[in-house]
Amino acid sequence: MLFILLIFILQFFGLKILVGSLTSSVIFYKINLIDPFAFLEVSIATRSVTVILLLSLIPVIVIYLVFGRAFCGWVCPFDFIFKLIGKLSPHSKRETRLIRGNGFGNVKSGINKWLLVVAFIVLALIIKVPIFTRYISHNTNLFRAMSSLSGIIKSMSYALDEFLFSISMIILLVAFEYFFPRKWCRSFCPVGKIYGLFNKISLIKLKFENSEMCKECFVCQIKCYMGVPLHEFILKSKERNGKVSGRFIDCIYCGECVLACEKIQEGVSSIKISLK
Amino acid sequence: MNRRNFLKILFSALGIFSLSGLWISTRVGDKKRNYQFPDPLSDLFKDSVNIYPPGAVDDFTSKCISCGICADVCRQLGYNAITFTSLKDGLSSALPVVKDMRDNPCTLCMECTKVCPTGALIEIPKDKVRMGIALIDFSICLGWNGDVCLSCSKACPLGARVFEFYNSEWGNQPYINENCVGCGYCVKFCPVGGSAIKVVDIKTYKSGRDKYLAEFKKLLSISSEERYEIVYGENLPKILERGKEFEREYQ
Repeated sequence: MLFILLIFILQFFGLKILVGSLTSSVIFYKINLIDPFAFLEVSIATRSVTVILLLSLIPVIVIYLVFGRAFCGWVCPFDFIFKLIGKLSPHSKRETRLIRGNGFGNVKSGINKWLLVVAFIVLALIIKVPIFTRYISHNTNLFRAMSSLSGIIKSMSYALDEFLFSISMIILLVAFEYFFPRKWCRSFCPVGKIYGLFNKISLIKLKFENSEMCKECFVCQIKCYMGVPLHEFILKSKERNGKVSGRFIDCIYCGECVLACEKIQEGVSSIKISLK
Repeated sequence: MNRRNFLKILFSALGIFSLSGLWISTRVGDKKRNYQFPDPLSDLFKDSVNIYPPGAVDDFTSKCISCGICADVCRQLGYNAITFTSLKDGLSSALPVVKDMRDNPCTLCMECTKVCPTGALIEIPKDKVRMGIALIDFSICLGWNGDVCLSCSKACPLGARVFEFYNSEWGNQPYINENCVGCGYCVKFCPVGGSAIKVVDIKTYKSGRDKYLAEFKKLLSISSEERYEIVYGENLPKILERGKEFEREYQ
């Protein structure tokens, strides 16, 4: 994850391998990439799909057809930042908040999680401007802040308000994250939601194996900060001999559950992230 | 417990700080110019206009997602033409524009159109570009007031396709026709202080077009005595005053 971020940050020091932001970027000034939600918002705002848009979408689709929502766990810089904040804050309270949201037993319907996606798309339809991607998106703002900061350092002071806006949006998100841990990732972020759709058809998915070893401690459920219903998943898999699909829209394949399970069962994890 | 309280206070302070940052950022506008003269043609085209980069499609505001790749390419090539609109502009804020044509006009290298991932900028031939149209302020242009200057036409990348000359005893009077792409090179190389040329976008141009053309035709048709009055009475003092500004601008 840090590696991809590093390539992005190198662009501000003159090494242009990957230029742009995580909403859209260009590799070696040749291959365009665009985030699927940005694609959706732009094509709805303009009410048309152009060849350029599709061409830049294709590489992204190919990548995430394999890896599902791994974007959130392995590429998104905010996963890293939020983890740092998690380390900073006092443990017990944060943990209880997270677990309360995990929904042991009573899994929420999840329709309200799509509210923001629908809201922004409707907004794009009405005012014909990709509001989220241009102004609110954390990925756009982070890289805009960095590039305008590098502009200010190189004494081009016109970017001051841009920098102030972007950095404020990010700090606001960080403060929000401290008081409502992972609320942004779980319920609000529309980018992640769209990547989550890839989970339904992606090559990799969660798998439950070695069911005789699992002692139903559900540490995996506690460790999962995205609130994937692992509890339910494990119980159902045991009932039906592992014939339950491990495709969850919320899963970001961060591997926390696998690591936790390995620790408890001494090297062999029951939950696995596997290809097909 | 102590640490928790500290963090609570820290993060609430950060939240408030960021909210105030948002509020300020919508109010911090453009840097004020350091000379006091009005823009050329400021009485005809009052609004400050956004000139989008070359190849901008019609629904540019709904296609651009402000990723900043075009500005990066422009900076990389050393032109620094593309900057972003300030947040005061409402829904057309944070869009790439060619703002400072006095110093950094668009070179029409068309590299930004090749890298745009959303298709907000599309690759088109240079003479099909319509970023805007350059308009000469006849009241402060040297060529319209008894001189032979030609700086703008020499700077123009399209040359004879764009420039028309109405030579008379009142100078080598240049006129920019509607083939102009609006790159702004003439703005940069105009020797009048603060430039005698302004680039406006096509929409704004259409609203003031009739008045502008009327002024142009009037200047060509009026008698020598009247023209003498205008040139020596009004325009030359203005130009001379701006000339001092020119020295300050390029020190």
